[in-house]
Amino acid sequence: MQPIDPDDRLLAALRGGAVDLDGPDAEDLAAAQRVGALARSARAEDLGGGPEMGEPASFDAIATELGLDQHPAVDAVPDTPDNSTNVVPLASRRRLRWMAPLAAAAVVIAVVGVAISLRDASSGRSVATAALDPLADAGSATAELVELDDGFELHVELEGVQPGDGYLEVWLINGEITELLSLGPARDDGTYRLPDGLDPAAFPVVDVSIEHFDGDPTHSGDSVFRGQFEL
Amino acid sequence: MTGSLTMEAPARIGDTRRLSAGLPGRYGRFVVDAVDSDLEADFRAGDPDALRRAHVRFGRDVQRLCARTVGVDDAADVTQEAFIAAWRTRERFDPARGSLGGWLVGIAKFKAIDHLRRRERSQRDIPGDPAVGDSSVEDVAQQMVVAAAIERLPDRMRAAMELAFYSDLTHTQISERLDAPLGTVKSDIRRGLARLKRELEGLDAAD
Repeated sequence: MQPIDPDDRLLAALRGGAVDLDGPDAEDLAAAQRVGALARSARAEDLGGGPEMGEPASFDAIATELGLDQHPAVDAVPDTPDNSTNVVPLASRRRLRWMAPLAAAAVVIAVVGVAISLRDASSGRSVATAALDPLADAGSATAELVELDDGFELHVELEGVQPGDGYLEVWLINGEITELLSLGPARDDGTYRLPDGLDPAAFPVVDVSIEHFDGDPTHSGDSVFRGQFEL
Repeated sequence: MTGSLTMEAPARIGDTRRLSAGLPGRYGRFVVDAVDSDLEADFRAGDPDALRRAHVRFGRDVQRLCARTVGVDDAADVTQEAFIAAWRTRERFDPARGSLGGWLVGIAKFKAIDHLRRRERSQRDIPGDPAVGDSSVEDVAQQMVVAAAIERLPDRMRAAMELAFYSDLTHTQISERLDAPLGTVKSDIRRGLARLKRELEGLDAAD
């Protein structure tokens, strides 16, 4: 006799319990059974802690075999003839990746407001707007959640904050302030497509932070704007 | 989680960090999702730097599978073969059919099997250990994909999944043990399962 509650059924299936394959959640239960069985046998085989793997495979050898240029393709930075002999450290690779669109950010920030107001009003339905508090006591920012035919966009308009030798990054945060979603570096057009399937109501807080080129994708803790949609 | 000398350790999602303005916080699963979904899209689009990033992120898991099947001495070679083959067939990777990490392990699985067959043929006259059969390589690959994916889960979600798999605690007891709301525990288990399922689907999709 299976539990009646769907979550209890799922837990039972995860633990190897019998699955009613005629039920509405049969597919979920079958997946739970499979994953659970594999997790337990992996543990029995002590695979989770990580078997010895030996000398790590060198990416250089892979890139050489494939004839790959090991430097990131960046529109604004032309390749120099002796690139192939330079090994660029990871941190500066990130710098190269993001620098091209952001090189003008310091100038563009003040212009973003104009760009947004010129956007075609018919491109989406405005769901909510919010003024963002200037946490660094400088500048101002607003955010708008827009619903499209096939998803959601966040529009963030901000001004008066310079990222210095770093860059600005836009985040969505859940109501419990326990989970963050990075929408990436601040864009010239201030438009951020939300991941498909994300429920905007679950992430109503908009945060803008100053990030540094340190190869660390986590939030720096240095927020400059934060506000919350009423959803 | 520490990296080897030549591989960058991936950002440890779930590490406790404080947000500014006095808000405590932890980095939840969506930081991982943002990182991985970008990587998957970039890989599919043929950005060569995405292969390097994939190697940083998944190379250790791939090499562990190789070590477990072909042995430690040949693991690096087979890992390299796998990444090379993965790049050459990158148009066959479809994020809708499963994760990139799972798919890469799947490619490696086939390379490991090929390696074992070549080894068996060349050693036919030499008595020794029987070759690892195809089906056991498949089993090991599936187990390792799940084990590696559990390791990548955010701390709270991983803790909930481990209690779900390895204990007989009820949801309420898990909630008490983790000091997390009951709804959060149930949600963590569903989301955790969805992630692990996607990793396995990636493995299944490799050909």
